[in-house]
Amino acid sequence: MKLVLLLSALLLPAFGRAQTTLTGQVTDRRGNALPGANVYIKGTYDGVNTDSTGHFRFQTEQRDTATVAVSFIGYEPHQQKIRLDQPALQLTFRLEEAANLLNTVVITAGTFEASDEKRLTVLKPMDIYTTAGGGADINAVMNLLPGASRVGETEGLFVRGGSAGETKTLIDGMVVQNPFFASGPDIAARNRFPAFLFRGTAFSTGGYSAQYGQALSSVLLLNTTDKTGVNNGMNINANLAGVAVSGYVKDKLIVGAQYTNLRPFIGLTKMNVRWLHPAEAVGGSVIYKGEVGRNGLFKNYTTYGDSYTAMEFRDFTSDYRPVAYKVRNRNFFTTNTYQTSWAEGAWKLQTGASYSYNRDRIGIDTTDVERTDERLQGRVILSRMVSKDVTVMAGGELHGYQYENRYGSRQQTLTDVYSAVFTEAEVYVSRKLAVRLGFRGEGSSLIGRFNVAPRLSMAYKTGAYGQVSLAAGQFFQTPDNKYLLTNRSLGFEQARHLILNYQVIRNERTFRVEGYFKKYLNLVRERAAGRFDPNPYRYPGSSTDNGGHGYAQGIDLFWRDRKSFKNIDYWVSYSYLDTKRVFANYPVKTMPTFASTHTASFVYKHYVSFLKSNLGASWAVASGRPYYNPQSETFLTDRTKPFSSLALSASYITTIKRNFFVIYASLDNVLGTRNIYGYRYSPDGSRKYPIIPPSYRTFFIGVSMNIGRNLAVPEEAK
Amino acid sequence: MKRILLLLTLALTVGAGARAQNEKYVKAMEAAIAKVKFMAPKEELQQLAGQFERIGSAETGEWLPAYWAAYTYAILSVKETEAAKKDAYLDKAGELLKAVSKQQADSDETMVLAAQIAGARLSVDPENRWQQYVPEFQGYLEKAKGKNPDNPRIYALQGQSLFYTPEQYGGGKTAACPMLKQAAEKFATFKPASTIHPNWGQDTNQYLLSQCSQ
Repeated sequence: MKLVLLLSALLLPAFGRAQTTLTGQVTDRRGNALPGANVYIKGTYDGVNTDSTGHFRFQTEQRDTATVAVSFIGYEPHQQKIRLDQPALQLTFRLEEAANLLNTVVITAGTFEASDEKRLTVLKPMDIYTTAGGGADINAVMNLLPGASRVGETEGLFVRGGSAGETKTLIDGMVVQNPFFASGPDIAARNRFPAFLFRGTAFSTGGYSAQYGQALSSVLLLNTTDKTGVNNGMNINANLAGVAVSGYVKDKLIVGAQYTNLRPFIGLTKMNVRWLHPAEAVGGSVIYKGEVGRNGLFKNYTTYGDSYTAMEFRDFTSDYRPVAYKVRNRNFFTTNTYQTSWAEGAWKLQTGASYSYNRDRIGIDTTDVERTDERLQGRVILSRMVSKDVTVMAGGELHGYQYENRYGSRQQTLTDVYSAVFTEAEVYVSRKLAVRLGFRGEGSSLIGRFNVAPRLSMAYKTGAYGQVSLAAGQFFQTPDNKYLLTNRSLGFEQARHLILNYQVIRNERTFRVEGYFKKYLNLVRERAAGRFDPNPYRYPGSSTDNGGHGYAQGIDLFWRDRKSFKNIDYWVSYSYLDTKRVFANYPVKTMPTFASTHTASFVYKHYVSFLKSNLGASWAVASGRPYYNPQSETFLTDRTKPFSSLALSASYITTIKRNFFVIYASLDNVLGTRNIYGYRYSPDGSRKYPIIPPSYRTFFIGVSMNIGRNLAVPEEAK
Repeated sequence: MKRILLLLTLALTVGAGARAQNEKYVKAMEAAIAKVKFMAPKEELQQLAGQFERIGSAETGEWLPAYWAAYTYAILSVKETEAAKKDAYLDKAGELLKAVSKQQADSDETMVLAAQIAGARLSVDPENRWQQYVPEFQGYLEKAKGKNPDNPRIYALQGQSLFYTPEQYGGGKTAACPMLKQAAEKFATFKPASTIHPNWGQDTNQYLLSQCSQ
């Protein structure tokens, strides 16, 4: 009897199973049908995907109770216990949208990011190579974005009324002490770092995270790539300015060496300066990547360079006779970073240590100048994802910095121990609203001061593609070395940012508008009596204090369209800037020499398939900048004529035996526009000399060969 | 005796149940796998992906349902036109791949699937993604080759990728066709471990090969 009972119990499921028919609909929160959602009884095969109206109908032989699971891509999965006590059951499910890159707000105020990680970025890494007039120089391309002013005679980014010194360059979070090659007077130097090293470049025009400090206006964040390629191989790049060779060892190592000599380039170009020794340089670099454990990654990037340039320039401090200017530069930079994560990525640790050394030996006529700086820095950041919506981060930095300046027989030294702690919390109040609040505290032993700066940014998603962002914060910077050499009781210079941004990215079309207000406080001011000295290279002899101040406000517009026309990508950028400041040796509050009221650029790229070529053009224009005219009764009210430069570029890509060859050429300032960056006057004010680029029109051509790197499209190719 | 009989019956019944269950599993899988074709309409593929997931939810010890679900989502991604949706399908395929790797970390088929997904990621935005996904794609295929050089899908994927790579980047027919031919040879001798083990790729390979002679 027992046996029969047991058997029937066992066999029962096989007989007389009552079926239940489940019907219903799956919708989103607002009640819109979700076609294709998977509805099924957990642990069985019973189920179906919803039809085009979001409806479903299926049968199950399960009895009593069951769990219905509903899932759909892009939505949070849902489960529900049901009782199967009726032959038919009707159910409605409302699914919540899952957080993803499209429906979740991203804080964007003040940042232009070139990245392929986030899918909604304005710039892509390849843009640095493919932009005409950019010359594959990171900074030159950033200059074609809104927020940057065109200052042709000086390297660096002049952001929203800020000077070049107010922008810091960071590689993997570590400060780069000398991001530019050594330059001559009134000649802007290129960024030292080749763009292909970086998987992401973010150009922040203000309101940035508490992670970064010591920059009043802007940070340029460069993140080295995590991949070195799957094949062994090498790249040889030869052009009018030299030869570079790099070797790739599978997944691990890139070793590069280069020799630069501008002689061929200068020989082909009509120059405005007389070169005594066109720039000549040797350099080498190593990138090593290694995985440590399961989630750890160690990276090292080391670069060394030695360069020499000599030219003739007119000594504007005396009688304007031509004198020799020679500069020999030696630069070394190494950065080591280690990052790891555990507990499924809930905890993340990033650490870094770097050392940089830079020495300029400058000979101006008969005077010798030697400047050396060294920076040793360490950085640690620990972040924890507390929940899906809350991430907190805390970290610290410690820098040892030494600067030595020898001018003739005078020698001066500065030593600073800079330390900083920072913490930040990012909270997604909902998918539409994100808030990031942080604090940064910094101390400098050199000036014996400490500051605490709050940073806030938030973003609200206004629709499927648009969002508004807001950023505000306080930013501090230690005064420039030239002031600290004579006065160590100066305090931090300060800026306060307020930025409001609206952005729509849809279908590879981007529109951005950003308004900002920036207030400058405690800028260093020279209390010089008597005549204004316009020499930008002067060392202040007078007393200094933190009495300077100013403001900058404006609107930046950006439109980019990669979709409307096949194989065509273009962008338009415009900046309006209203800024005034009294600082340095300015006698009154006025618009500084490095600001333009209107700046615009047009960038066009076209892939022509039958030519196997990328063609590009860019046109940069800017309204005139103030210059000092000793004959004028008012200070800095004269303006240069507007700046304009049209550039063309082309690259042709081909393969020979599965090795890539790219031939690239560019023509800058095609129209040969006689741009003038400003004027210098002889000390008595009687003679006027324009500050002009080293050449009006430049032509450049080169070839890049990739050997044994099958299928890896070279960086210049796209 | 009675007791032994009872135990025996019980064992037999349970055994039969398990076999029936296994048969049901194989049948359901076979039915779905037969319909997974690149040319199938999106709605049907969605339905099939759902079916694999449903089977997977019941057969938690099996890796093939997740494998086929991931593969189906990868096809869906290729058929989809909107970039964001392509990525969403691939996110899903990636999750399923993770589940497969937990059980089949060392299988060449897992690597091939990973390569397939990396290749699909690349095709969403090749200009900006090649730096990450070309090495990933190649790396997985290399690893798969190390495990089993006779897996025809390795060569089929490589050939397919070359076929759609413009000539100036080292692709085109001249580079692709020998690879596709090699794949065809491997397909000719390939025997899947069972009726529900990975056995896709031959039709696409055949189609591309037919283009070679034109």
